[in-house]
Amino acid sequence: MRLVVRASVTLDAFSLDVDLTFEGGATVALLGPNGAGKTTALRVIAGLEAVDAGRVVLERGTDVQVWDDPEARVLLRPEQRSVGFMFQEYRLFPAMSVLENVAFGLRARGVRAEVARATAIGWLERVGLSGRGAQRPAGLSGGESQRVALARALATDPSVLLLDEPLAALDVSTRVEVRADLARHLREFHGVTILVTHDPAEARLLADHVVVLERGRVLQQGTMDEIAAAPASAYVERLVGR
Amino acid sequence: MLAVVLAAVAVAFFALPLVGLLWRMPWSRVWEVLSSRAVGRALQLSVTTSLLAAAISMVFGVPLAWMLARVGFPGRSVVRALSTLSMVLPAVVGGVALFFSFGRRGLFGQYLDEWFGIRLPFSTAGVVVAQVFVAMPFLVLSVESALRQLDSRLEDAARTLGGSRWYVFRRVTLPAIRPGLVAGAVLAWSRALGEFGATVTFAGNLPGRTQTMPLATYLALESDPEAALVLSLLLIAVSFAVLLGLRDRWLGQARTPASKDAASVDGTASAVAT
Repeated sequence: MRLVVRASVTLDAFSLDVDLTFEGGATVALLGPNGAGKTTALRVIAGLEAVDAGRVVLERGTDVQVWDDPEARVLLRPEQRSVGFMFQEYRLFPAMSVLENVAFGLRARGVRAEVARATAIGWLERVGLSGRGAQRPAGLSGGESQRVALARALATDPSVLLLDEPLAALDVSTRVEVRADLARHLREFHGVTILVTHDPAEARLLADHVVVLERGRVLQQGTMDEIAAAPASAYVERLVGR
Repeated sequence: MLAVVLAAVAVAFFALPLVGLLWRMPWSRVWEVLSSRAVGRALQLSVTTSLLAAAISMVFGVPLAWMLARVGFPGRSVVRALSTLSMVLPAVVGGVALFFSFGRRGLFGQYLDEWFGIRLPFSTAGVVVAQVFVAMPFLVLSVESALRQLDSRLEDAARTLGGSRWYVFRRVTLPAIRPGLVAGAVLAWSRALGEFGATVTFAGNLPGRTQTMPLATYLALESDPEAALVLSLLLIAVSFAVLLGLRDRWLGQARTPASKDAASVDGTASAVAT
């Protein structure tokens, strides 16, 4: 599996211009300061923003699915793309139970209620929250909300998993534990994983490959060690602590 | 101090007419008037037409509010002004406009009659049309403002999970705007219940067919002022109950859990935005 993102997008005063290829089974971290365009890149992949020029294509063996191509006048809507998006503030539906949240994607895709329910219960178990399905999200701790959001994003078995600052909303004490759990789930996931972060430690622990973004452009990419060995800007230098 | 005095005068201004009305109320005749056949027919007509008008306002008003709040299209502010015009228009003017457009000789009314045999003026359907004309803007404004205040981030999340626009609207948007929708529907319904000017101009004043409660009240003032007092009391009681219920039952109850959730979402969001 391979996701090819060649995207040029202009939003107000900001522009994103990247050409990236993501391989299945690997986790890529998009690393960069605020306003570098990391979240915009995820939104483009999810279909919440359209590219002005370029192409977004998912290749599964011989099956090539064009998600966005303004030249060919192709633009798949978010619900037509096989994507799981975990937002940094989780965005759990407050009026639904935890179980309904996890089952939402399956129900939205027309899966029968009992099947969706059983799958969602299985996912709650996998993230260590069995028996909490009847609760409302408002009663969950930060770490629990994070795990529900992850289960909800993975429950539809997406080809592409997008994680926007998955640990940023957690306090330091829970972050280490949740990060270890997240690393385990990412190893078990075989699709394309793209992780947005501004924390180099997180990138090092969770990602196989790191792409540094600055002002909407790719500044540098490679493993975290390669980047630390030859930082390409003052920002990266400060980040890796040289 | 001055503010308190002025506010007290304002309250007195609203309270004194009620006191006057209740003071002259022929309490011994209340049951007799309310149980008369003419009043029964007017009441029944008012209840059915106003409920129908509220339902029709919802069916057409919610999509209109959604378009106004969420879809950018050229001339949106003109459309918004047009669809809320009847709120500020004297109702009689609305009735005249309806008469010359949907009346039997009206620009569109003549074809309704010719092609479908539909004659709106002086019919119960005409009453509903007049009520929808004045009531729907209340629903549109209320739902549009609820949609504008709604955080579209939840809808985005639902879309990425595979929800079509309609599914997301039903499962995520609609539950979130329910207080606004209920408030708008109740306001539209009570506006339809009290509608006078457009009804009498467009639909006339035929007992049993187009004579609603407000029309019956006005008529009674000339023939039997005591009956008019009783009818007014009934309308006041209904309106007052609606206002009280709207405050405490729907808006109050719905606000507490919703704002709590919103606060927790905002809290995490601001914690993240460092």
